[in-house]
Amino acid sequence: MNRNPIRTFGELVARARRDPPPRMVVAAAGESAAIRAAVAAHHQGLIRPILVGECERIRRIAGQQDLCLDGVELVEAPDPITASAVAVRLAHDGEAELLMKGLVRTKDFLRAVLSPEFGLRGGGALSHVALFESPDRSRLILLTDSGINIRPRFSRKVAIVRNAIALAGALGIDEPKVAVIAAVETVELPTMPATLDAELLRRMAEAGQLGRCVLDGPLSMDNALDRCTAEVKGLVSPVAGQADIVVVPDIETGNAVYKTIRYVAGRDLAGVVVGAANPVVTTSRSDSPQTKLYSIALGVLMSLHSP
Amino acid sequence: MKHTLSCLVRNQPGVLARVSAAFASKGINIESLAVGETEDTNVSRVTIVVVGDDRTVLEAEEQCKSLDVVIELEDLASEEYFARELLLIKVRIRPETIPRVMQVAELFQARVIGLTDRALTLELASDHKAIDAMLKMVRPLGIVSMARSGQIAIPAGDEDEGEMAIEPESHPYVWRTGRSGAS
Repeated sequence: MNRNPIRTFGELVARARRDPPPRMVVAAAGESAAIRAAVAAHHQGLIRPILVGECERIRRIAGQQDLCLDGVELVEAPDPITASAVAVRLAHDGEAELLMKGLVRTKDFLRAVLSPEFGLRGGGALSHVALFESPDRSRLILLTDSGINIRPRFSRKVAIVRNAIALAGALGIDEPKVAVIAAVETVELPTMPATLDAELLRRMAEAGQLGRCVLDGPLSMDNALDRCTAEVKGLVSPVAGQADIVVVPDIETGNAVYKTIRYVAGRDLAGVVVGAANPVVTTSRSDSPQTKLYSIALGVLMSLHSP
Repeated sequence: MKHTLSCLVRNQPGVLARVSAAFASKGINIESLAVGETEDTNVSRVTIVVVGDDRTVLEAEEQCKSLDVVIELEDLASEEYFARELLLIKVRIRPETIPRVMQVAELFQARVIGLTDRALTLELASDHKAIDAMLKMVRPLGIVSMARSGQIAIPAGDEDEGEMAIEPESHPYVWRTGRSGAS
């Protein structure tokens, strides 16, 4: 297996292809964006889709959109909550390797994912990891958590970092450089608790408590991503300017960074929920078709590395 | 039985010693004692937590009330009250115990106010049960040093305007019973 780090989205899609492709079950698939994403990923050879929802509606939408459902399995479920439960149960029972959210509220979907009876609890906390290409498109950078954990406490941040390191491993980054983001580089108490979390994470990483990684923080975003800035500011850090993983303090920061990359820089991203037994793809309807495809490819790659 | 006493006294030297002596003379150990100014800078509130049988504590309370510097004394057991204590504690940290220390801080909503190479300083303002519970959890992790303020307390309900112990703008003080306070 090629263990070189994946550096671009094109490479991500290429490396995610398998024969046969893994099965991806889509919960509440009765909407055009979800059907289109699943069918596109199927045509790219990334997955074998299982669409759970109102079959008649799925067929009608596919017909209207000229989407071919050959090779796509349909499973009937009358409403989004039931569809989520059916989809999660299929993954739980080993009938699918990854899961994707369709037209269902995130909280209803995650309730099924976390069901103690048939859910996909992986023993740790769930977190969202987004992926984007560096400005010079020379490497991929992971951003976490912009989608699940609202204001994570310290212990949750430990889990978020570990989840991201695991995903970095799936991308061939064996010893990722992790930047824990704050607004400044020094611990400011009690005014900036994110700086304390960053410093404590740094101490844990230094002692090998977070697995194989090089972690530094608190670091501001410019120092984490831009080597020239770090040099100008005289910052000495093994991570400065070379971060593979960017850990933001809360969901507001993560969400803003994600959408700035998308809508200001005009770049595509990928995103996946990790920490569950199976990777979970939760794209938004407003995400571009490319973002959806890359997200599925990321989920596939993650599924190949799941224990 | 534990009693929380709220005592309004004149803000002048030697008052604390006289109040303490009233309890000591009855053989009652003061568990905590906290004093600070009230809305009237001439008056201080002393919150005293004592443990003793009800009768002896009552005798000590009466003795305390008889002091000319004591304006009012209430045993808060008879009514609802808000009570808080401040804890400042320095807890030892090692890389492997950091999550545990932070978990305890988060559980009790203690603020982290300081960090050194070997310790985190936490601040917790809460009732004494929560403070005791947190101390129990951090003790195995290693307490470097700590300080407790002693409990402060204030009745929860509205003050009765008709029975106000202290006239807002005037002195001398008036007892709840209407007796003139000594000046």
